[in-house]
Amino acid sequence: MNNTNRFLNRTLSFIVGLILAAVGVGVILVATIPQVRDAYKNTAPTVLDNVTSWFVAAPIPGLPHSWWFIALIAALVLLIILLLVFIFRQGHGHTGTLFTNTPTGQGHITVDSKVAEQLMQSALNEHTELVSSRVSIYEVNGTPVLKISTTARRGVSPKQIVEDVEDTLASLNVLLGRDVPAAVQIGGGFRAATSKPIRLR
Amino acid sequence: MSETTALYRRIKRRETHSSRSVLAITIAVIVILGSAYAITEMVLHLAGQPALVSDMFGVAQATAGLAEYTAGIVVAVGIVTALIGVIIMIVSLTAGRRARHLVETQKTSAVVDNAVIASGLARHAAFAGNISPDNVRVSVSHRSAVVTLTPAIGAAMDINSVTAAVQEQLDSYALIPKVRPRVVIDEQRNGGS
Repeated sequence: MNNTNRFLNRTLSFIVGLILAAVGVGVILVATIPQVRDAYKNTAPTVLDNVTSWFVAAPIPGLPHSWWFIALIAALVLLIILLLVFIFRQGHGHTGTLFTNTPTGQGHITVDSKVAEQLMQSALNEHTELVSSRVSIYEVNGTPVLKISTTARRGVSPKQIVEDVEDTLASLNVLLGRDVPAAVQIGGGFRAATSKPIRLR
Repeated sequence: MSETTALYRRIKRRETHSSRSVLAITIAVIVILGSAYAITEMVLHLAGQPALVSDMFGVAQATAGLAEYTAGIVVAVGIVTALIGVIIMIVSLTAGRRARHLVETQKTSAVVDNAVIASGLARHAAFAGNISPDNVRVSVSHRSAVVTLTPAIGAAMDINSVTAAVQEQLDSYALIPKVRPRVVIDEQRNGGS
């Protein structure tokens, strides 16, 4: 429902997983295969010397330190900022505006999400087979979609809930004069477990 | 119409599969902490302060000396690292289906948690089997529902009527994918209520 970039989640995870797996396998090879171990023994100090010489070769004028430190710190700060943006980009997708009419000579109409949310909410509160329900509007691919999350009372037929919600939705659509796409989610959870079960009819 | 169909297809897919955010956020936080630590060490080095654990040169030297350490410990570390990496890769590539079913309907996208299906089935199975709802356990997975009844000692139990009741309920729920019921009468533990 929300506009989390799921592909990005998987890509980041995959790359980090790949790096870890590669490092792990590399470490195992160094420790177990004599040829690899010897090659590593011979090359590692040379690489280390090279890197150290780069650091020495680029000093900050007047200081006994290398520019490379500044560059590394800058790169890591950038990485941290990117990852923080990535973390806070998760979720989202709520929208405050349900729709805006095309302007006419008399002006134009904007319908707030709150209208649909509260109308649906108060209508759904009447239903005894629901312990609770929550209505919000998400924007999916540029289209506002009603998200109706419900907690079903124990023993209720989910199909029955879907039909009840759809009936309520039909009334809302008549009221608004247009069809709003909707996503219904029926859950159980703690509140369902602690509230009274439904009586069979 | 096709636009709405595409919209519903997207919503249904997103509602029934995990976004893998928990994994991605955990990884991001760990990388952030690691980077913050590296920055701290470098700043301390630049300021001429003693290192918290080891400065970057020390870390580099320790890495270069990898071949000198006890092989057993190095292998163990390598295996653990590789294993974590492989698990992360598997999780990032698999679908991550959530314990939910779609409910067949034309007007909306509707998903229902397996727990809700199970509680509905349990109630009807108890009613059909004429036993207390406390003695019915139901577990619903992607394609099957296992209903376990524990009748009281000596109580007759008509497994067919229970199966029929459960099947009837499942048919009325119109789940996608379809769930096949399996009713089991548990006679091992038939004491108590």
